[in-house]
Amino acid sequence: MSNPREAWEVVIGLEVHVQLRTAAKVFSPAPWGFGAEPNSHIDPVSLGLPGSLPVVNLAALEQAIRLGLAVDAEIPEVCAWDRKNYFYPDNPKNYQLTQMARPVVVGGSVEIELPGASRNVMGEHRRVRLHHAHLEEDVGKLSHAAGGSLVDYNRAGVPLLEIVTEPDLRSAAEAEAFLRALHALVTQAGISDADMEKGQLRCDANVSLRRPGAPLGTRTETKNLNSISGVRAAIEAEVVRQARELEAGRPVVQETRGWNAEAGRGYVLRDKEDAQDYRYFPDPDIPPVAIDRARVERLRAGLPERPFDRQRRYLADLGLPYTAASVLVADLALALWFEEAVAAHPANPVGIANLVANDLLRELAASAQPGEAAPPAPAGLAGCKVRPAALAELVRLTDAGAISKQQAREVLAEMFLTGQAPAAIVGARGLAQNSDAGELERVVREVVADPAFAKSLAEFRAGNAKAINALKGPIMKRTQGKANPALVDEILRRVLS
Amino acid sequence: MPKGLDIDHVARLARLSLAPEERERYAAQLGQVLGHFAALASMGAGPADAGLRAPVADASLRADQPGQPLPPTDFLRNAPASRDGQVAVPRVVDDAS
Amino acid sequence: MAEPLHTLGAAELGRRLASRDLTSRALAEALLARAASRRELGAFNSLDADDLLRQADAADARRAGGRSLGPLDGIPVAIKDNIAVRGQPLTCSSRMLAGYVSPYDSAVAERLRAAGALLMGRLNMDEFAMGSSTETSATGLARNPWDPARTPGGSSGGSAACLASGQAPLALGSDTGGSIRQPASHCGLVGLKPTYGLVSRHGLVAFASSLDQIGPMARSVDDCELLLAALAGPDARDMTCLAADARAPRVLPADRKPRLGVPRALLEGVAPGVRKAFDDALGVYRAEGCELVDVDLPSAALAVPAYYVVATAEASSNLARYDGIRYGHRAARDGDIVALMSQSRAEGFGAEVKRRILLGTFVLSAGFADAYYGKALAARARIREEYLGALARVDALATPTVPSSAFRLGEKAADPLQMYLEDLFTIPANLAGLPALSVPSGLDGALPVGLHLVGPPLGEGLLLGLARRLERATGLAHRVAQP
Repeated sequence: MSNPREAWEVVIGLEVHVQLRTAAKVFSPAPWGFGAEPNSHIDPVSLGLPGSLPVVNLAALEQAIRLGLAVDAEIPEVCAWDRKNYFYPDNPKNYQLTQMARPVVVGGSVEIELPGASRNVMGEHRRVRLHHAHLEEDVGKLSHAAGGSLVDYNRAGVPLLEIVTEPDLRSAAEAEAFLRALHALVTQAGISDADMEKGQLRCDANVSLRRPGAPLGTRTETKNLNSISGVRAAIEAEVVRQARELEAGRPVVQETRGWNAEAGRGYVLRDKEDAQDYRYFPDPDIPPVAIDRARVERLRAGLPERPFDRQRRYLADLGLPYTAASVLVADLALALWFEEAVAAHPANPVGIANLVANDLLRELAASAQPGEAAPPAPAGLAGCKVRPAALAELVRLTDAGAISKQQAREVLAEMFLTGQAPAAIVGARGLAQNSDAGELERVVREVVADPAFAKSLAEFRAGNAKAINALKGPIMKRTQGKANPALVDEILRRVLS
Repeated sequence: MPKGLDIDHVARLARLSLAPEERERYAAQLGQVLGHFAALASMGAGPADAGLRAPVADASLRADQPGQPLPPTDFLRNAPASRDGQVAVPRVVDDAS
Repeated sequence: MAEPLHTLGAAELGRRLASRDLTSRALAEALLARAASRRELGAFNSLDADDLLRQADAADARRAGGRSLGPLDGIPVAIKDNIAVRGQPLTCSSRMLAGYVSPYDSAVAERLRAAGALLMGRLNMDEFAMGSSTETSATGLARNPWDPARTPGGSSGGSAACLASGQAPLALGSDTGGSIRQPASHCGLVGLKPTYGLVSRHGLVAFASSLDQIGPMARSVDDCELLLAALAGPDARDMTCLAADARAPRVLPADRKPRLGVPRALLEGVAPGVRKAFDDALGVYRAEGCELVDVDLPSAALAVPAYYVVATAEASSNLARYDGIRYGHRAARDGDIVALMSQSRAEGFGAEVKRRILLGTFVLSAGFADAYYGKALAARARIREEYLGALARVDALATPTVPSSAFRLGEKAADPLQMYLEDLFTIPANLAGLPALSVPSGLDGALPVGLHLVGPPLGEGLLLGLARRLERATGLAHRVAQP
């Protein structure tokens, strides 16, 4: 390769901040949620008013433990909080309550799926190790106006889980795969809504380069990446920048960087010279917390199946094609909907999967209100008029030969609009297939006897197997398209033999 | 003065502007006080925090019940400067945190 | 009944209120008049007379309606200015918080309201409770009612001056290293620092969170106990506050003589007048049938350094929030945010607070945290072990509260180290989380001197019982300085 960049190994570690799904803040009872009036979700604790004291929200701790269990991490007997001291106007106490020495989640790993050779082919699965995850408080939000900045403290005290990976990722694509996997994991377990547009999942990326086999190179940290495409772009740009530096004989400087998404450019926030001295020490207001083992087991039992475990089961046990399986496992509600349908008609999971993953999702997408921000396809599943049992019945009708697959699609569209049972639609539309062997044999013999088709008949008898299809068209036409194609084929071959 | 006491660095960390005469005085006083703390050097390494404080049971933590938020006016009336329901500060350049 | 109202104790006032010989309004008016006449003592930072009278009228209405809330109903309790009371200033005697109004009640304010007590004024103190003389107050110093040229002690100097001059029968102090007990000693009062976690810190402006406790101050042991009963209780808003099922009190054993431990090695350097009062007190206990036992506390010399490292480290972090952004003093200066914060803090804080913030920042900073903060934690753990070990052999440990009686204002202001040594005897109880009190034991000339007793965890009742024996013998209860 002429491009020396090929000779660099990229080493990436991520620090992902996830806002945990709770009703109240992590250290106080103030409510929180995206989009409220400025400074309406505040209380003395989240503002750091004189005399206020933090009290840990059990639900936030439980969500952190659930994440730990979902990634096979160790949940220690005791976790504790430390103060990270730094001055910033969005940081109400000018220290952040975090877990430096004794985090709630230790180790663990996240399974990721790398892109396959094509859309229909599953890529490699790997596990990315976690160093730990710690439960801390979010800070307020600064906005910049003419003549100054404004601070809204609604976000201050929102429960935040910082998930820190080992430097296991080797490309921007792997980082993206990690974030997608983590996103699916936390949303499906109800740990976080993880809406990146609302800042509920944010990412810092540590990037360094080295020659394969060499010790780790100097890393930079790019902070506050708030979209998956941003993470990807920022890492790619940083790799190019570091490679260029190294190839020009300049060392990479350890620094903290920002990412300008509009300009597609990184920039230096601060260099190591003004590295912060956070003066961590144990928070005296929050005693260490002993984590009850029975609680841990209860939380473990309450976790849903992990997306890739489900994917494996769909592929191996249900025999689903990769694409349908992947579409279904991407959304827990959709997967559970699918499984309910399979439970009602266990004979044909593939048929059900295809109708759900292709047709039902298309109907759902098409029915989204115009002008709405494009929701993920499964949105609206809850209100969908088609119930899993009804879709199972539709597949059963198809399997029994009562209707064709094409007809099944039409029936599904009708079910989607009216919520009627499939049998009722089939009956009302007169769609039922004609499987009356006597009647079909009469039509078959008519067509075979019709001189208009003598040429096709002769070709078939001369050994052209495909010529038989030319006879099926007129048979279908004479039965208004209702003839059961399998039965027609069978009768035709018997009559001709 | 103990080796390494850089009063300017400490003042910067503490976000305290010091006048030159304060700087001299505090450096001397801190040096004197820290000298008096030399007895601590006889101690071994510090214990883990757990050595001092017994853990509390997780069951004693707060239930996830949102309470009444503080009315914004109760907060903002103590704020030195506010605008549009928010605390106003000089323009903050994108750094730190 | 010739005694003026301002000289009466809370228990006696409660009896008169209950028998309708007195109204809360009359009491409040008398105390407001007394406060106005003793203003030069600098006891109060502010005193909202209308608010006090409204509370008094409400108490009288309750009583008239047969809905009295108990022994404190209608009795004023003066509040140190670092304890939040909704709608009232909360300045900590600092320029930094001038004009700040607390939007919420502290737990103790809630508990006092529930007991019917009148929340009275905002008491002067050392700035952010950092000091032992009330000279670091930005609102002006407080004076010792027994000799206005001397300090009332600190940091709860306003509380002590208020009580000793009869401006209120009861007061709240806070104690991080002796801030209740040292001024109680200097002003002839009973002051108690509870077991860490007995009283909620919710609404107490933090100085050093792992050491701070709110406690009662009064002119008699009975009154002190009465107020403590109202303050103590579990609170889900303070994770360090003891749960209801962890509050079994320790009492004196009934089957043997009480044992008092005396760490004689620590008594070197105690001023002669203080030493005499201490020896007299020990004589009282001996005469009362107590057993006096010599105890050895070899790590006591580490207490002052360990305390100043831990307390300033926590304070440097606790006081970081005062930056002129959300509340408090903001410098009238343009510039970037760092300059604004640094200048606001430079203008808002006084010299002692800055000194401690700098010290605390340094002992936590990279490269020094292990040598100072880490070792201070180790020393703290050892001191706690030694005290608990000693208290397994004796019921309480006795020393003077302060090595000398109240010093002249200005005498030690220039020497922080001398000032820090004021707390020599009181600091270990905070480091170990133990209850401790000061009770008047005698006089050094005209100046009161206190005996200091440290007890086992939750041994408040035990300490108050021992203090009551001394009080009966000395007769030094309910003393109010003239005029």
